[in-house]
Amino acid sequence: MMSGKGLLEVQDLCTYFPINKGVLRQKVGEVKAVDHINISIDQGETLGIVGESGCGKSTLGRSILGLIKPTSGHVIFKGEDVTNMDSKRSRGMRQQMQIVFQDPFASLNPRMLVEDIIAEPLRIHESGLSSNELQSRVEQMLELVGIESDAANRYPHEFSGGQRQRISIARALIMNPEFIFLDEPVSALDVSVRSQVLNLIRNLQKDLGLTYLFISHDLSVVRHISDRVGVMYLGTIVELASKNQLFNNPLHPYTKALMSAIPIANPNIPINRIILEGDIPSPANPPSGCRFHTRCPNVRKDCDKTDMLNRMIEVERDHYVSCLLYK
Amino acid sequence: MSKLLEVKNLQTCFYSKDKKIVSAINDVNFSIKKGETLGIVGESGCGKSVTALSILQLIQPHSGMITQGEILLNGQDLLKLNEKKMQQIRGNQISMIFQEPMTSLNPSFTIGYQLIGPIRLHRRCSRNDAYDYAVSMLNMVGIASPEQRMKEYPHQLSGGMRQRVMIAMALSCEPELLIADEPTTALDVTIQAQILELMKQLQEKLQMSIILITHDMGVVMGMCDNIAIMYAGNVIEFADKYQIFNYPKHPYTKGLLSSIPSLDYDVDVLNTIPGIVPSISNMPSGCKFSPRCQHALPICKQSQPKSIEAGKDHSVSCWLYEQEGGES
Repeated sequence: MMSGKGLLEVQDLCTYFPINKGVLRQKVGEVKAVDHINISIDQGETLGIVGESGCGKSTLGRSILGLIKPTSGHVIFKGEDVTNMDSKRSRGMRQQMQIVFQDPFASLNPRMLVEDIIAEPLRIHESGLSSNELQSRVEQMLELVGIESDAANRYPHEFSGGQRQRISIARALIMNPEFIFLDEPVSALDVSVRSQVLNLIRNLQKDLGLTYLFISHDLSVVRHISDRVGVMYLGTIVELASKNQLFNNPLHPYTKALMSAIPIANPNIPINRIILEGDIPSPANPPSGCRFHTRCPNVRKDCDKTDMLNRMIEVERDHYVSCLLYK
Repeated sequence: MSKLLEVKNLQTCFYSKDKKIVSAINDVNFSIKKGETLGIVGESGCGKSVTALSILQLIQPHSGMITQGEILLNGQDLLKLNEKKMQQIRGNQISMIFQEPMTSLNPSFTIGYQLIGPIRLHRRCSRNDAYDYAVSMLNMVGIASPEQRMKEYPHQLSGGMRQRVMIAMALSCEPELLIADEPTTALDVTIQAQILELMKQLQEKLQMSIILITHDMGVVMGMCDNIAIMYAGNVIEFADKYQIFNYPKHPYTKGLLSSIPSLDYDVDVLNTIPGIVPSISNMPSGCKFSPRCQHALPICKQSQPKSIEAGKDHSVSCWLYEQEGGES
């Protein structure tokens, strides 16, 4: 479906979580958090994924990194399938794929010095390093993310949210990864600090040639940082396009509703909202056919019967949408 | 239109760990007219929520107190009322909804029980009347099959539904003023749009005023008439939303507006405000924004600027305009 020369290719990836009930904990169902997803990310590119809470964006990222074992499907990183690697080789591969978590207050161990937090990946993957070497690598990283080097001997609680997120980024960068999964890295930050961190993330990409998978529920942040954007709804990608195509010409009714729902910080623009009815259905029991048909303002009579899973229609060049309206 | 609520020179202090007194908000002034929506915007820790809690006098006595100022509701100073009279104001005339709908509902009681309680307290009616009234409130906030929901517990509802229940509860005594403290921050954008739309409709129907507290510039611009920008415990700028957006005066307001990425066009590097928000126990002297301000003058570090009129109904606390005004 998409060009075959990506740094990272996700093929038909599914991650289902079992629902166990009763004394014997028998499996009574599944939550289809990620359902038959195909994406590819090119070298040096940022792919943004947007969607509401519970749509499976974080599970997608974690399945790609192998932090959650996918149920089926393949993740191909630099031509090698990382889903079924033995643990020794996947360990080597993981050095090149790193993660930055959402909440900088929860993702840094409060009892470790900043120096130890940043050096921990090095201690694991390159165990032969002397303490001097470790220290100089940590200092390099701190400089790279714009934190003064005396921070190394302090604890995370001494830092503000923005600085902590910089420390998280330093920890992700110390193994010189090629691919970083950024899981809502600025959602917990205040507006004035958020733009500082966004600029840092962008500059690092330019300087180090990084490839990002950037997840957020904030469309304006995704537009700022991404090259291409995918919109997720209930475990599936409903639309995937370059950011200009997506923002100038959204096609899927869900994308349109999502965009119109964003509050715009400009009172001069008239508000023209598409208000969706109801809540997101439970992913344990997703609607039949197109998963969005229960809330869709443009629903047709066969939307609930035709399975749209994994059916992406290329409406214009590199602009894919999973919707019967465009068939 | 007459002023419904007027807050004058409000100061609220808290006791810090080492028994010192630190002020969380200082010299806060704003007013709101009947039927109007006022937005209070600022970053975390700037005193937005403390302002709201002070209006309702919900500051815990052992943690802090209101040390100065007046809060006039229809001309009556709320700070002079005793606790019993204040109890009648809360809920009846001023009501509040909180950010986290899960933590503000009691998980061990049904929705019905929690709705009927305040209705009976304030309206002094029978249990059956209160039940019917609660069902009609749930209907009004757009909850489907309200009788069923009355029997359910908070965990059985989604975030958006819980917030609707909170709104129903807050509006059940038809208050003149609703204070909404980050009502949609915990919700998804499509649900946020539903709730904001609901608040607007109900405001029109019930002719009430709303104070909307948020950090999201987009939400205020869509909802409010007037905006108060807060920074480190002070209202630094106050004007209607068009003034704030088109002609922002304070360097912090300008920085805040320009650091939001746009949905319509691309910028290579986002504008940033250098530095971080100061903590309340370690405030800089003079203007509290001066260490982060690019236009800081020597006087900014020495004394705090007073709020001055920088245009019609547009006030700003900044030395840059004080001097301008003095010269011309």
